[in-house]
Amino acid sequence: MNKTYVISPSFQSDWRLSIRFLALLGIVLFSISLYFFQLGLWLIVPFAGAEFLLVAASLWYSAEKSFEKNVLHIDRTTVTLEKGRKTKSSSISFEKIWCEVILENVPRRWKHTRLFLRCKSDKVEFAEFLDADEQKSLARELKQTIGPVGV
Amino acid sequence: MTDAVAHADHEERKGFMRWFTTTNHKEIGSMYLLWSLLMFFAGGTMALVIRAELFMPGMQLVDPYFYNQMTTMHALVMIFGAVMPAFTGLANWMIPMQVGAPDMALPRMNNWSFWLMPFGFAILLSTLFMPGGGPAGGWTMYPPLMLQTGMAFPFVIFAIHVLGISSIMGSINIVATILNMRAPGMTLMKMPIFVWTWLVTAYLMIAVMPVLAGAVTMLLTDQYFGTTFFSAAGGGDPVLYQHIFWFFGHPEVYIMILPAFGIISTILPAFSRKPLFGYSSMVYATASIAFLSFIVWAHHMFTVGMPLAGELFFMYATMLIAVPTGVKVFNWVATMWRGAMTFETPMLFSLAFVFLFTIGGFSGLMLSIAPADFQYHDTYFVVAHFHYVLVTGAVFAILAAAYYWLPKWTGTMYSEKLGQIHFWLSTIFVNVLFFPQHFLGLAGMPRRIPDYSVQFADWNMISSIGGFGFGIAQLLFLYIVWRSIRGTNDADARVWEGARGLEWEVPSPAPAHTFSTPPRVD
Repeated sequence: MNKTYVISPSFQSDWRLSIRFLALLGIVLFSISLYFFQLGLWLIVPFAGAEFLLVAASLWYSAEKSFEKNVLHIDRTTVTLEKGRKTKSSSISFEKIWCEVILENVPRRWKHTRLFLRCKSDKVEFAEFLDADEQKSLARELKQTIGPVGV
Repeated sequence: MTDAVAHADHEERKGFMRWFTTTNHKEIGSMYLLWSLLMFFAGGTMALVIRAELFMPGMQLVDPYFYNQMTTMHALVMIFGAVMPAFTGLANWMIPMQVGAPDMALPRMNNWSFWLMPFGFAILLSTLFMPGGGPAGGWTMYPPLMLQTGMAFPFVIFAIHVLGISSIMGSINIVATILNMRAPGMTLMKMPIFVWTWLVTAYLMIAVMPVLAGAVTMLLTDQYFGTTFFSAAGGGDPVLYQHIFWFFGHPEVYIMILPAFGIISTILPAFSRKPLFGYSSMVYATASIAFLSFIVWAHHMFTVGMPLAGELFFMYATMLIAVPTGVKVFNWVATMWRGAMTFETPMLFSLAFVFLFTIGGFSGLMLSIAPADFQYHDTYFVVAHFHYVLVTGAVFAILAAAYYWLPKWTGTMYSEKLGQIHFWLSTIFVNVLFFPQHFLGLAGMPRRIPDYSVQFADWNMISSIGGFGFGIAQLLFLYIVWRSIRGTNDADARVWEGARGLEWEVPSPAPAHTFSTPPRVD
């Protein structure tokens, strides 16, 4: 029995729209700060610059998150986990018979649960971008094909 | 399924740590809303100190310096602590649900942006207990008056920076959510109007916050580091501060009213059982108001002195705002026209908004006329004007939104009878409170004074009675909210028959995680 799970965040970004938004914001923000700069009020410029960078970084980061993808190939003997964004960046294979899916409760961290694939002493986290409910239902489904969900 | 899976729900975390570390948009939204309610009562108490002092001519309760601290703090608390966080709370709760997203785009930043706020307000309010008292120069913080503040001065500036960072992070999160997390098929022109108004609001906030940050930092360097940005003695210009403050301050007014427009544009169609009239024109009107807000700031400064061409430009530019605002009012009326209207509490508050905000808009038009403004400036007419915009405008819209979405948040229908009593008490008393202030201002009573001439006694007494009545009426709202939170989860998924939108597709109360599988919008 071969099975493939493609796991990706449940939203899609619009990077071109973000660029347009950033351009519109940048024009206004820098026009304002340069106008006040030539009046001698230069202290507005660093705040405007820092804020623009924060907006750009936030939009880029949230857009990047939407490209995250994990692919799980499960066949009779092997479980292969591939990770990447637009292209595959890492791949790891385990013997299926030694594999188990672990959903950990992590009460003292930002994220409330973490999902792992464990084989003997190797343990790899996956589907980090899913929320607790999504990880729970994925763990439940993988239990049917890979193995028990342990603590 | 093992216990670990069963216990994986985030609700397992109990007590303070659950709220301190939460990244769930609904929980953060609830915290914003409850914080805003707390600040509404704190700022309201300050307002009642002001109204108690003005109940009769002569000095009765507080000394003039404390009175000035109350007027300053009342404004800062209501603007930055009550109205803005309430809108951010509504955005946190509703925007992900309305665009079909599982959460906000940047959940950790969301947590930080909330928790910075109590920290900022703790600093700000603590200044009232410092030697020399809190800031007393008005929320506009004009130099050189503001520079006479005692020990509290650097703390006030620091608090404003902290609150500014909180607002900026909240806005960035909203922008990222709207741009990057909409459900498939939800194009910009299919977004709910509340989402649109918040996108424009967030843009405005991000665009003008650096100006405020720069302005207050320059005040700080003038005071402690020997610069003279705003000191004429060193070649600076105190009037320049007023220009940059209002360059931030006027868009700030729109930051507090555009989401209110979005709320009213959501509620009126639901209770008229008709789609919103002129959706596209509403979007363009919102964008036009935002654009105009950048070029009208000096109408706050007609009496300060500027060239005649400047007075004329700012006068006409300000009058222009009536055009997109008029489009909105027309569309609201057209939405209700021949609709199957019912008058539940959210609808009543929305209708009151349309009437009373329009009164505030008209008095704003009067103030925009430069020669007339020379008479009205710094009188109670201005106080009446902006309270009609901010209380019967922004606050009434927030109350309408609270009643409209409360069953979705708590799962329990509020008491309609109590809601209606709250509405009528609020509407009657708010007019008793603020309408006489038009007469006082036109008769020449200056604002920001703890004592006044006896000719103003009668209307002041009536206004104070209205103030206390309005304040007491809000305790009823507190009780209604408390009852709804403690209720029995009896609300349907679609609470209102005419309500449309993705938020009504999920059960009431909305589960901790919604739209893990994105809905398809056609």
